[in-house]
Amino acid sequence: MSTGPDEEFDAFMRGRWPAMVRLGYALTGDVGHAEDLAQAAFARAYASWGRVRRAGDPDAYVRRIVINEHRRRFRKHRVAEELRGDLGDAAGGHQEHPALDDRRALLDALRALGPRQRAVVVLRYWLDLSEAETAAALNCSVGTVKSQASRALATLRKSAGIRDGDIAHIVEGGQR
Amino acid sequence: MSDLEEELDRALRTVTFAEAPVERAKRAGRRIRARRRVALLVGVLAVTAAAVGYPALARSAAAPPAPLTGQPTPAPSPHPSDMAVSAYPASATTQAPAGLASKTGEIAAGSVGDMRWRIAVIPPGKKNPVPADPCYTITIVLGGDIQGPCYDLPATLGRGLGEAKPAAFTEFLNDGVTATTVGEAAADVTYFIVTFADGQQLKLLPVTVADHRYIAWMAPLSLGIGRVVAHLGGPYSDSGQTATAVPFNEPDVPPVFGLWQPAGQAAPPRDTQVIGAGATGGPPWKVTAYEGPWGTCFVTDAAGPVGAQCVASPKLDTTAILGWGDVSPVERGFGSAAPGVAAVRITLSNGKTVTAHPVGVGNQDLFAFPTGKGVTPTGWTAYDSTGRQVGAGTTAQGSAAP
Repeated sequence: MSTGPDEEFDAFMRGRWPAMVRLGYALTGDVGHAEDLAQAAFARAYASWGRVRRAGDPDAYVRRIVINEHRRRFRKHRVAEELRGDLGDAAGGHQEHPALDDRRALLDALRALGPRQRAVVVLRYWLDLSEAETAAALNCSVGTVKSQASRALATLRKSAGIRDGDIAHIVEGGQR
Repeated sequence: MSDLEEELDRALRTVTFAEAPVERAKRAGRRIRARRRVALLVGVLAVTAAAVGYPALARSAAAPPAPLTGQPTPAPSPHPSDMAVSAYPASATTQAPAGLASKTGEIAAGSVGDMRWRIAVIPPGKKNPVPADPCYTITIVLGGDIQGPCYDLPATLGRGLGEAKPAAFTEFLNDGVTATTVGEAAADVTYFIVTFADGQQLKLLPVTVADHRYIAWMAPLSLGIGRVVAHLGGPYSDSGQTATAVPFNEPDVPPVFGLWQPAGQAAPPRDTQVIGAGATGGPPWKVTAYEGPWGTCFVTDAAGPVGAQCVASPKLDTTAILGWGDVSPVERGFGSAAPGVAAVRITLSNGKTVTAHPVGVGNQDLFAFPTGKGVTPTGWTAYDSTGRQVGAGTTAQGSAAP
């Protein structure tokens, strides 16, 4: 039996909520901000659900709203710089583990990046979007994605907590 | 997966967060929709109030900029000041071989009473909220500008006109006070004359944005539109040929444009009949068919009109299911029957069947039937008055004849 637009939206939001909150967290470093961003994005998607469905890629639509809303809030309130190095505070309870240092170092390195470079890293290397998809999501050119990614990787390379092997893997195998 | 991606993934998967607040997001989404609807009304009220307080603003609003070459000055008319309308191409337009063009996307400007407005089309691209779809913005001028969100352009607009007709219009944006129309014009249209029910007229020149020609105007909803005449020939040459659209008007609902008729062609006869009714598993409903110069329009009622669909054809003389869907709180379908068809049995996606009996409306036979929530028609079988099967088809076949 087919489902109506409302049921489709419900299923879509429940299915994609974790990914959008994680994206918001990657961009802001704060769960509260991340949930706000994700909820605002889904609300806007619901307000135009007919058009969003017709566009054929609701995931990209919501993702773009999360990113744009983050950029807008960053411009206004600089909340993006609240990315916290202490993963445990935001991530809930965790056990001490050697890998945790790497995660902290990674988030520290991300925090050191500017918002656009951070967004490029998150979209390009975490969400695994192509350069063109990243450019579309960030409303910039593919050339800008390339240059921002190059600078971001150079910064990460200089970061003590990021292994050279990681960067080499990304640079050699990450281009689509 | 790269090492960095893996590490990011691991780190981000440790983040804990609340369950998806679906209902809260939907409530917020509804508020956004409601704000879109009332935004224009707020603009109207604010401009009216400001114009009362600042006569200079009212004078400024009442004086449109000088028209472009060949463009008529709206004739003064003895209409109540709040009902007087004007529209002209946006000041940013330039003359190009294919007609007026706008690089900024702004296509038209004008006034309703003391309120001034501008309308711009945002073509598909990076500036558009949905990159694949064009949309349009409405700006109300009040000292500074009040710009609303980018509204949908229907699929028939912004992608060229698939049928041989001079224009396709959006559904009107209905804020209860004013209505906005955005339309796409064919390449051979020179200009349009919009005639309102009180006799006021607007002459509209199409403006090209991203290879598509648009027109737009704004008017009080209560004004009503009598007809729109397209003058044909080319961007700068009027051949004298015309095509006329008479919209279907429902009270308090924006006019719906269906049929375009060349000059001299007889209009379909006017007739109105109820073609289906019931109360199966829900509130009482009925579908009324209106035939006339607009083509054929199907209006669904459930304690008031809940939906109107028009078919731009002067005569529907084949058996076909023309439309179906949810017009909350009713789920129904409707169609046309070939001459001699006395009953149509419709097969639904849930395996059930429902039988409808065509009703004569003007010079055609039409029917309506209930479906059910989430249920769609998949096929039909037609019978004559003796019960003999005279045709069958599926919804995928569209207008298969018996």
